[in-house]
Amino acid sequence: MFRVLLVDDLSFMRMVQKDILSGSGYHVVGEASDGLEAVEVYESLKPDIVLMDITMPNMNGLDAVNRILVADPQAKIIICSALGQQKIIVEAINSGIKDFIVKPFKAERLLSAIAKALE
Amino acid sequence: MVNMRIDDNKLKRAFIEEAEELLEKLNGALLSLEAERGNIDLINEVFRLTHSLKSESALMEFSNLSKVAHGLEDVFEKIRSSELDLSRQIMDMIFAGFDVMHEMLNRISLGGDDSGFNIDSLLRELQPLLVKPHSPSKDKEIVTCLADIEFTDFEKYQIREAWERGEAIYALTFCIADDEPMKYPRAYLVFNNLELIANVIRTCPDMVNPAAGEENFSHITLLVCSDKEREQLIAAANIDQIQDIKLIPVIYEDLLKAAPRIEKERFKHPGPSDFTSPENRERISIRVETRKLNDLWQQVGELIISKSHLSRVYERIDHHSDPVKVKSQLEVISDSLDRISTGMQESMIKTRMVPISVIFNKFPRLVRDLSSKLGKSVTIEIHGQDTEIDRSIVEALADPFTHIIRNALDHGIEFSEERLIQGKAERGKISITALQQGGKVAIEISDDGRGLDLQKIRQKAGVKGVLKDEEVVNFIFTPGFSTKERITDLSGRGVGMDVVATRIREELKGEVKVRSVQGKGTTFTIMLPLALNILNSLIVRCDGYFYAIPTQNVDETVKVLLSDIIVKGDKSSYSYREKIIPLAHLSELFDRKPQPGDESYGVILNHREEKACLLVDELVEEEELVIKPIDSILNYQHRLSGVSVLGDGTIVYVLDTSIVEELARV
Repeated sequence: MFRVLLVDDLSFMRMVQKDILSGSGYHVVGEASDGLEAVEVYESLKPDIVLMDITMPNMNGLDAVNRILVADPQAKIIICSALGQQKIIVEAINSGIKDFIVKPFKAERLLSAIAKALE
Repeated sequence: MVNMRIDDNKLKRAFIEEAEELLEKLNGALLSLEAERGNIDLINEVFRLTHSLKSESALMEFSNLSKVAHGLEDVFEKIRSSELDLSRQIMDMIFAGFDVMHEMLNRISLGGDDSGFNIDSLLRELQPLLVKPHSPSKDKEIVTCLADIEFTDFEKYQIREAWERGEAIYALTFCIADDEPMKYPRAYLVFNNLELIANVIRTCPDMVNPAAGEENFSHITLLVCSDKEREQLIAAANIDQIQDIKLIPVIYEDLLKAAPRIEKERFKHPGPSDFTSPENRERISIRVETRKLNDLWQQVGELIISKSHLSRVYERIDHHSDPVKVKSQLEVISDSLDRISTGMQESMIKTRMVPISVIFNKFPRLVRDLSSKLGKSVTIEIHGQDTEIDRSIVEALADPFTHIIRNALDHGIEFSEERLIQGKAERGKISITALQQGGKVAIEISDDGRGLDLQKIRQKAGVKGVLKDEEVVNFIFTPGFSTKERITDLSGRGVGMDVVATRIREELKGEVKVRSVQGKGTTFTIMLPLALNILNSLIVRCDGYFYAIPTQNVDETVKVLLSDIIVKGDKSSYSYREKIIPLAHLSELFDRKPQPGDESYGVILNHREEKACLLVDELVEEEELVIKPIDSILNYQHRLSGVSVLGDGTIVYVLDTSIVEELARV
């Protein structure tokens, strides 16, 4: 059973993600609402995969991605982003994310992205 | 195989000899095949040769060698049955395989074995050739988009480098699902994943500087070089929303067809050539003996010292400085720099020098092959292999020399029966000698055959009895001259001689002459000027003067006691290895009175066939010297063949070793 960390400043978004994931056998072990918290929680929880939003207060997703990958180069992170942020996604790809999904997303997209990333 | 143990070495030697022969023939066949790709006979010959190599090496349990030979054999099987076309890429791969086998055999003949060679990538490269490339037209279309691209120099370089590393090259194509809202980033993700495990040369459409318009990124092609497995590459591309992943092998030649070809003149010439010729700008490295680089290294050290000396002088200058003093300090530095730069120049030129053995090494084989082909019995003798010549000349010399030797074998040396009737030794002899004389290198190629037909030459040249034989004989160098009625396939009509002369005279600014005695033999003498004479010398001291003796003329150095010297009248001799050889003191050669002590050092000199013992006061060292010519006015009785200067400024006189013959004569 894979352990997932959800990072998004909108609690509603996290609820939807949790719903989709739990229903397909993933275990949501933690949640964070900004980049800073994401880095801390990742440290303590060491999940198998992270779902990371980009626009967040205190520290945005991109910086959080970099921080986490520096501390743990093997970390698997999937970025969740709104349309129109191509540049940031490309940057994130360069940083080393495994995949990205575009909001609003369909359940199957989320699931197949996570599945492929965990292979 | 227990019984084999006893004859192991013998068997091994036999194998090595035969394998070397096979490789030599294979080399010839491959070169011919390259010029005539469609020649069935050549293809069959190559197939047979590789087949034999495979079997033999397998028998000797050299499995790696056998594998490579087997790989090549398979390729030729496919070519034979027209399943494969002999493209340039394939030829290059075959030559690569040949190289490896050649190296392996070298190792084996030196006592090693065929392990430690990376044949995996070579065999893998041969593999795709054996699999029929799948080229349904659809794939061709996709690859066409790459073929139409103009590659940048850097891309061509990368492609070439990858090919040389033995990597495979593919066009990886895929589609992005229509409903993917961010196509470009998705394509970029694939690109990034691949870059982690391979080298992506080009993307189509361009991902590094993407043009606006998401529609472009529905269908992507990447040009990838990698040594990774196909599955790995496909897996890297297999992320969410990616469909129709295809990995199509690409043939390097097709890709680089617009790029200038780099001619791999591997076996056509024995040595590397001039640095500045356009073909050779592609060449990445040359071989230089490390000792030659050591001199340069030292000189760089001295340069650094001079440089800091200069800095110190400069820093100390102020308005109190005495200009005269500064001037003299600068003069010292200037002289030093002068000396160092000349030294460095010479060192650099030394790195360009290679021993003439680079060319000569091919001749024993040549003589063997040709003489057996002609049904004649011939031996070859080579002297002066260490004589050094400039790299750039090496290539230019190979052909003329080969031609002269072929002529000697074809027209010069008689069949055994004829020789015996004439009272000559049954086996003909070809002698090749190289030596440095003053500012030139002299190379003599002589045979003891029937000599040139002076009558015929006079006839052909249309000269009456006025000209002497020595002059008439040089007519063979005029264009179109030939006295041979038949054209043998070996040396043609004799038209080669004028080409030989032109090569040597025009290209190399040298001279070629011929001497011939009817019934006795012919000698070609080629004189080549040198930019620099390098001579490996033994430096000795006598009466306070330093002399240099070419090490190739030194057999040995011995301690000579007064009691060892045999005196008869005014001649002295010495017993050396059961032979009595003439002895002289170096001082005597220069009309100085020798001061022999109870014991002195003796240098056993050789010159052609003669030997002599030369007494000196001290043996100093062995050194590679740059020889400068000496003016005849200063050359007392022509005892010297040149002069040299040591690093510290000492003058060294280079002895002309023909003195040995003089001593032997009396």
